[in-house]
Amino acid sequence: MCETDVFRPRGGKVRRSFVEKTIDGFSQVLMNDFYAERIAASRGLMQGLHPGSKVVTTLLLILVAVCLRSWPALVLLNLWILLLAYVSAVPLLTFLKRVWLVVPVFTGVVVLPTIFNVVLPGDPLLVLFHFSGGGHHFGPWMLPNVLAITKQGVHGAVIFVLRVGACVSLSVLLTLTTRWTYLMRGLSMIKIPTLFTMILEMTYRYIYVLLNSASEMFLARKSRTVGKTSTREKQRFVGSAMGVLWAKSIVLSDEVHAAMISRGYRGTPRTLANFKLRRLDWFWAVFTALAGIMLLGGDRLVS
Amino acid sequence: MSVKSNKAIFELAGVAFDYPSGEKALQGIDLTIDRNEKVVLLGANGSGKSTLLKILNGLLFIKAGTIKAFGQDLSEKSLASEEFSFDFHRRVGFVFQNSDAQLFNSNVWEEIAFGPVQLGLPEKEVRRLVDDMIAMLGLEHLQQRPPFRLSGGEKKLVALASVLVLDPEVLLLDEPTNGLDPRTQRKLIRIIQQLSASGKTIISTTHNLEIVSEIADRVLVFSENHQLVAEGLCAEILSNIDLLAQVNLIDAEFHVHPHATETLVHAYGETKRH
Repeated sequence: MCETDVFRPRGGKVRRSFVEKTIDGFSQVLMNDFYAERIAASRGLMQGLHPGSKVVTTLLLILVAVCLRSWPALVLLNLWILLLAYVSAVPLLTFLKRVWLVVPVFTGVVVLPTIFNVVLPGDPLLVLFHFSGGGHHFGPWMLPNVLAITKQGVHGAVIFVLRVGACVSLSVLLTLTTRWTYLMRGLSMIKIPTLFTMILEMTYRYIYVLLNSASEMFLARKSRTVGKTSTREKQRFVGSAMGVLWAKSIVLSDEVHAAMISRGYRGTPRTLANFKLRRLDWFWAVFTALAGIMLLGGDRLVS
Repeated sequence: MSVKSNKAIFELAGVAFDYPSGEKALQGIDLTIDRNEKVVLLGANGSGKSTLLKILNGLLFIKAGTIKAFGQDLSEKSLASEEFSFDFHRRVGFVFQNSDAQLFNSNVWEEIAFGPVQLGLPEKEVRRLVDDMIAMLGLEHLQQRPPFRLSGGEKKLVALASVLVLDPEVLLLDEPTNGLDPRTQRKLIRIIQQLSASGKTIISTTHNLEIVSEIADRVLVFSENHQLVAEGLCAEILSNIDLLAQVNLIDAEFHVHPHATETLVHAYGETKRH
């Protein structure tokens, strides 16, 4: 088979095999982690805060976001989060892409039907279609005379998207500006059981070991592949790779457990409470609480 | 656990161990390892030497025979005692062959602190021990780095630090130089020699004949039948070509330097003769 038939089938554009795409996927995960680690290590407001204080205030702000009912208050909260991201050395464009390219798509799909009067009755904002001889009953459901986008539907959808956006922004900001280790310490501070945070820490740690193993398997496969492979063959390889990875993870978990026992672990994990709250952390917690109360108060006045 | 005047640290008699599948891993092992000895367990892959190290660390329990550590029985029952377990794990450290298995914490500092924290040492003491160990092995630049961003040599050093931080009397090293570049291998060998000179008992496994004389005074040879078939000083064992061939440590093409009448081990300007 001619080489160009395999690698440049259409218009000279390179078509990548599923193996190459998977290897790229593995690299992308590592790249994302490097990127997040770099932001977490930079100097900024959020990076300077105690992880426990950050976790508590983030949860508080998420609670405020969930309780807000007016769009101006939610817009204000989202702008405040953007400002926080800015003063925490988070590149705004990347931050906006991560949140506002994803949130509208997923939440939009969820709330889209509710903007139409056929799902949620309301005052028409934009009439799309007139049904001839409307008012038909379908069981308990009545078809209206017109298909319209409603004011109440749009308002509800905007509130929903803004609310989800604020919650996702806060979570992204917390994870981007906090190293995983510190985040786990923060969770321990709010009385999340140590065993739970330890499992999370180890999961994070071993994802990369297993990712390396998987990457090597795919590279080995790539090095031995000439020409095209059938879909059935690809499925067989992926299935067997999953099996091998599973077996490797079992062996590894046994070894890790042995290594823990060897260093004195006796089934109950112990950790150092190695963070102390500083004045800035208290100031931040009080400031966030007051800001949350003011936002809620303003929200009640507007709505 | 009280320190006995007896020199022996480990005493094994008729030790046997089977894998869960029923396959034999060790048979009829009789041996004694004394305080401050530098011993290598030499054998081909699958001969049972790593299994023996795990048994010596109380991670696996024997099927037959007896094993004593510091004069006391080493068994599942004795290790269930908090006092014995604390003392034993403080006195016996194990560096695994697979560093990835040993480095399970989020960063190097926490990795080194894991042992002291699990043994319930006070926070101030933990911090002092960890910081001292980091300074001793020159790991300052790595202390906040997650293990998956370390090179193979760095991982091995951190694994060693995570064990040495408890200042164990006995150090068990499973294939310590496997997969290391020459410079890191040399650094590790020097550390092992310094630890031995400071009075620690060093028990290593290897199938790399080149490093045996550098990390051991006495060699225990394991056959592919999972038995201890010979023991002696490095020079005796390493010059016994028939024995080494029989246990699959050298092949028919093995040869020594034609210009030398003795085995030569070269290492950065040092030459040792046996």
